[in-house]
Formats: sequence, C-alpha cells, structure tokens
Amino acid sequence: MQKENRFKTFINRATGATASFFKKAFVAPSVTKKSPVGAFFGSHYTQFILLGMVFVVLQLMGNKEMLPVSLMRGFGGLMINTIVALGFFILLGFAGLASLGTAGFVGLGTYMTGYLLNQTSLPTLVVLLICILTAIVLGIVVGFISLRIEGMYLAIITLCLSEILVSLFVNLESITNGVNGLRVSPLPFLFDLEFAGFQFFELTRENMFMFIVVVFVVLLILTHNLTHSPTGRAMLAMKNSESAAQTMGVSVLRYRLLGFVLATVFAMIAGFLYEIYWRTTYPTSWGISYSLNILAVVVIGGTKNIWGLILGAFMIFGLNDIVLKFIPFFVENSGIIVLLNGALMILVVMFYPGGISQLIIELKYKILARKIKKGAKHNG
Amino acid sequence: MAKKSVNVLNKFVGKHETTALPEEVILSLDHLTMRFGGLVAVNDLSFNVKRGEIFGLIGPNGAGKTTVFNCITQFYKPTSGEVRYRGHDGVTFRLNDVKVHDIIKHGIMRTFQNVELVWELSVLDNLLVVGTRYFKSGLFAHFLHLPKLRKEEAKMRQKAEYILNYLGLSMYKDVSPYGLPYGIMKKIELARTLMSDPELIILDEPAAGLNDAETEELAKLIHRIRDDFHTTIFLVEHDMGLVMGICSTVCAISFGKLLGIGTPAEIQKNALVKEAYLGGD
Repeated sequence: MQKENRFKTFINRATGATASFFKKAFVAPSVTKKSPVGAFFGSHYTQFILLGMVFVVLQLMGNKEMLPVSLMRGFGGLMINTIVALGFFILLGFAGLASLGTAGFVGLGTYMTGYLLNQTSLPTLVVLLICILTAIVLGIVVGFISLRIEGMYLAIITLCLSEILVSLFVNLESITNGVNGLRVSPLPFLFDLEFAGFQFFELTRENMFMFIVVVFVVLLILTHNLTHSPTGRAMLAMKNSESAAQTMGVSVLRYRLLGFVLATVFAMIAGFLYEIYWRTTYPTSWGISYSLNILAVVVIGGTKNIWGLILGAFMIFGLNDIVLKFIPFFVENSGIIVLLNGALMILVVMFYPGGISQLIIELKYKILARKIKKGAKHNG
Repeated sequence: MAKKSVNVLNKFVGKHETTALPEEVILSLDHLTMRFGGLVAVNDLSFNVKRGEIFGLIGPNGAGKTTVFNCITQFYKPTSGEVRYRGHDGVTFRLNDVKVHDIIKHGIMRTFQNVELVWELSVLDNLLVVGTRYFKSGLFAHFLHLPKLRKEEAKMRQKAEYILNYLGLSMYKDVSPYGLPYGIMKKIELARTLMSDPELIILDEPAAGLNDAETEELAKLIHRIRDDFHTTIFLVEHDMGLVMGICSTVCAISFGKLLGIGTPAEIQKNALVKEAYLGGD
C-alpha cells in the first residue's frame, strides 16, 4: 500500500499535480469580455488549425525544394510521435495510469498496416479501420488488467506485453520479415476503390505528409475537447482519489478502460501513419527506449496544456531531427542529444514539475494580472 | 408482463426489491455485521433512520463508525446483514447489491473524514464532477463538443453556481481548492453532495479540524440544508456539542455493538454510553 502511494505521488509529481503548482497556477481570473478577434484566435480550433496550416506551408515550400528533404522528414516524424504522446497524455495525465507498453502498440500498428497492404487488396482506409478496431480490443484487455494491478506493477506488465510483441516481430519471419524489417510496396492510394476503377491521392511522401497533418490536427482538437468535457473531469477525479470519484458516480472500470482504449487507438493510428510515411519498420525501433521517450514527452511537456505537450515532443523528438541535424558539432557527436534529454528531464522534474504547460499557464496569468493592473490604473 | 420487465430493469440498475420499509423510514440496517479476518468491526447492528431527520452516530475511537458508513455506501460489502433503503419512488431495495458508483444514483451522497477534493480542478469544476452522471450526451458529444453537451454543461454550471452562492462560496469558484482554509474545503464537500439532489447525505466527521465558530456555523448550515433541500442527514461526529445540539436521534456504538439509541437527552443519561466513554468503575 505504501509503495503504491509513493508511486502515485510520483505520477502526480511527474505530471505536475504538486503543491507548488496549485499555489501558482490558479488566480481567480477577472470577468473580462474578449473582443471578437481575441475570441477567434483564443479558440483552440483556430490555434490548432493554424498550426496545421504552418506545416502545410512548410511542405509546399519543401515541394519547391526551398527546404531540405530531411527537415520535412523531421516534421513528419515529429507529428507522428506527438500523436502517440497525445494518447499517453490522456492515459497518464488524466486517467493517472502508467504504461510502458506504448512502443509495442505503435509497432503492432506498423506491422499490421504493412502486412495488410502487402498481402491483401484492402483499401487503405479499411486498413486504418482494422488497426483502430484491433487497438480497441487490445485497450480493453490491458484496461481489464489495470483493474487488478496498479502503479508500477502495471507499468511492468505493459512493458512485458510490449516486449512480447517485439519478440513476435522478430520471430514471426513469415509475416514480419524478421530483423530485416517490413517494407510497404507498392505505394497505396488513400481512396482506393479498385473495383470501381477509382483511385486517387497516391500516398507519396509529400501527399502522406498532408494526410498526417490532417489526422494530427483532428486528434489535437478531439483530445482538447475530451479533456475539457465531463469525461476529462471524471478522469481527473479518478486520478486524484478513486474512492472519492466512486462516491461521485464515476465508474472506475469505465474510465480506466477508456483511458487505455484511447491510448492504444492513438498509438496504432500513429503506427499506421508511420508505416506509410517511412515505408518500412524494424523491430528494434519499438523497444523500451521509445516508450520512455514518450513518457519523457509527457513529463517535460506537462499535462495541463496541449501546447506544452507539443513543445515537449519537439524537445524530445524534434530538436534532433529538425535543428541539431544541421549543426556540424552535433552531427559529429550524435550521442549528445540523449545526454541533453536526460539532463532536461532531471531539471524539469526537480525544478518545474508542471513541465512546459505550467510555464505557459503561468505566463497567461502574468499577462492577465498585468492587464488587470493596467485596467485598475486606467480607472483610478 | 409489464411488471416483469420493470423488475428486470430494476435488477439491471441494482435494485432488488425486498420487504418494504414503513413510509417514514429511509434507511434501515438489519443485523449488519462486518468482519475483517478475526476482527469484528461491526457486530449485529440494527437501527432505522427516519426521513427528514438529522441522525447522529457516535462512539469512542475505533468503535466502527466509519465502517458502518462504508458498509452503507458499499465500499465494503457487509459480511452479513442487510442495508435496506426506501427511495423517493417508494420502492424498498437492498443496497448490498448496488455498486459503489451507483449509490449516488439513488440519492445517497457522502463526504469524507479527510477532505477528498480534486486539486487539479477549480471549485466549480469539482462540483461538476458530480454532475457527470446527469450528462445524457455520450462520449461522441464529448469528443466533438456538440451543442447538446454545451447546453447541458451550461445548465449544470448554473446549478453549481446556485449551490456555491447558497453556501456563500461563489468567490472561490475559479480557484483550485488547494490551500483554501479547512472550513471552506469542508463546505465545498458539502456543496458537492448537494449537486446530486441527495435524499440522504452522509457526513463523516463534518466538524473535524474546525474551530468553535466554524462548528457553530456548520450546525446552522446543516439545519438549513435539511430544511431547504428536504433531505435526511446522517452524520458521524466526535464533537458532542454539535451532535447533541442538532441531532434529533442519536445512536451510540462501541466496538461495533449498539449501546443505545434515542434522543440526545436519553443518550446522555444512558449508563452504557457513560461507561464506554469514561470507563467503568
């Protein structure tokens, strides 16, 4: 019991649910009416769609060879990894469940997509649907396990599941092509109704990038909506105290299953995108280091704000592929990024347990406080 | 045929009809026993709580008061004995068969000895967690923030604001409950119980950690809530001043056994109760 509590404290600390956070974060905001322009740019729909449009413009520039190809690959990979992190954001930050099996599920998504596209003539979107359905079943199974086993033991169990999957990827050579990796060929079409002679939107890397942007923006919006709905509140109540949540009519079974189902669905959608974007997958990509990186994204990004999460993903996955790759010093000493990530994580957990989201929220309130002060001066 | 289907439906939501309770009784414990291994925490306890009264359960430390609460709210499944409850629709059923998170659906809501609020949500959102069960919109609407959800949310927000206003807490509504005075946190828990349109409010040591002035205010508040919301209040308390002041019926237990039940004056005179509190000579 004691150990469980300590682990729960760790989860709360890692996701910023600590005393120092609450003291700073909530200042009663004054009732100020926003101007229509402010309301338009303040809405999360606008913000996320604008982010998507930035990516689209970058890709269009890439198409005209104004940006290096490897930079665009970096952005694509960043978005896929952020999708995985979004699922984990719901699982750890809201449902309060720790899992180290994320990598296995992403891997399963890549292999299922690769196998189905190569061996069957199913339309691409149907393959995506099959991935999602499989994820739901898997999520329910893991969710039921989580009812019995809690805290760090759950993390160990999910890690084992993930490792089982990875060893299947290595050993089921007839399906997965073993350590050589599974390639997708030929290129699939997004809308593929061959029997009707109807095929368009060939998924080249450029087109696939656009598709990823669409999925990315949609999932960002859905996650934001869910976390700001009764479901999000019920999950937070469950994370805080199960007994209190139950007296408030929150079914622990329902919300734990939901947390795991969402996390696995997001992971397998990301797997689907990964396989078509990179066109190949290796078992070695889906080890524990990937799961830990996803955990690091959520810890560094924090769970109060999705923008924090996106920045966290940028620091863990993007920094290397988008910035440091173009600086000769880091190309020569490529191991240094791991060092930086480790140091960053220690610093964040020690000095800023709320992560980048905490920073964002504090900035918001500082601006608000300044506005109120200005208003007071103006009136006085 | 119709009645049969109603029965099936009732079973589905955990309602098992049993022998009806008299109309004025809302909750009845029948030979309730709770054993933890060799320890008998509650031993053959029976009493009735009448509708609309303020019922106090007292006893020395370790008497099993909180265990009784946990048996009623189904955190523990009683080893033997029945907890029967008569809802507002006049149907009597066993609470033993109801799931923990369904208890609230029958209008029973409890508070905790040590405050259990969600620090990560504002005070208003804390109240809205209770509202979760009122939301008819499903997961789909939550994902898309459909107008249906927004309408419901606005309605619930209004209700929560009304309750916060009623308890004089509206200035705290956008603040995290973390770091607020203990008395305020206890009041927020009370506000949370009111969100569920309760018929029976179970208070676990509402005055613990409060100073005298706050306790006095709480006593008035409990009375007011009982009258304004037409509920029954069942409380466990160590503060004898509060119990004797506001309860119409008091039940005293010690080591899980019933010592006496009656009006506060009767309990004060009861020799067994005196012995349990002061020791025999």
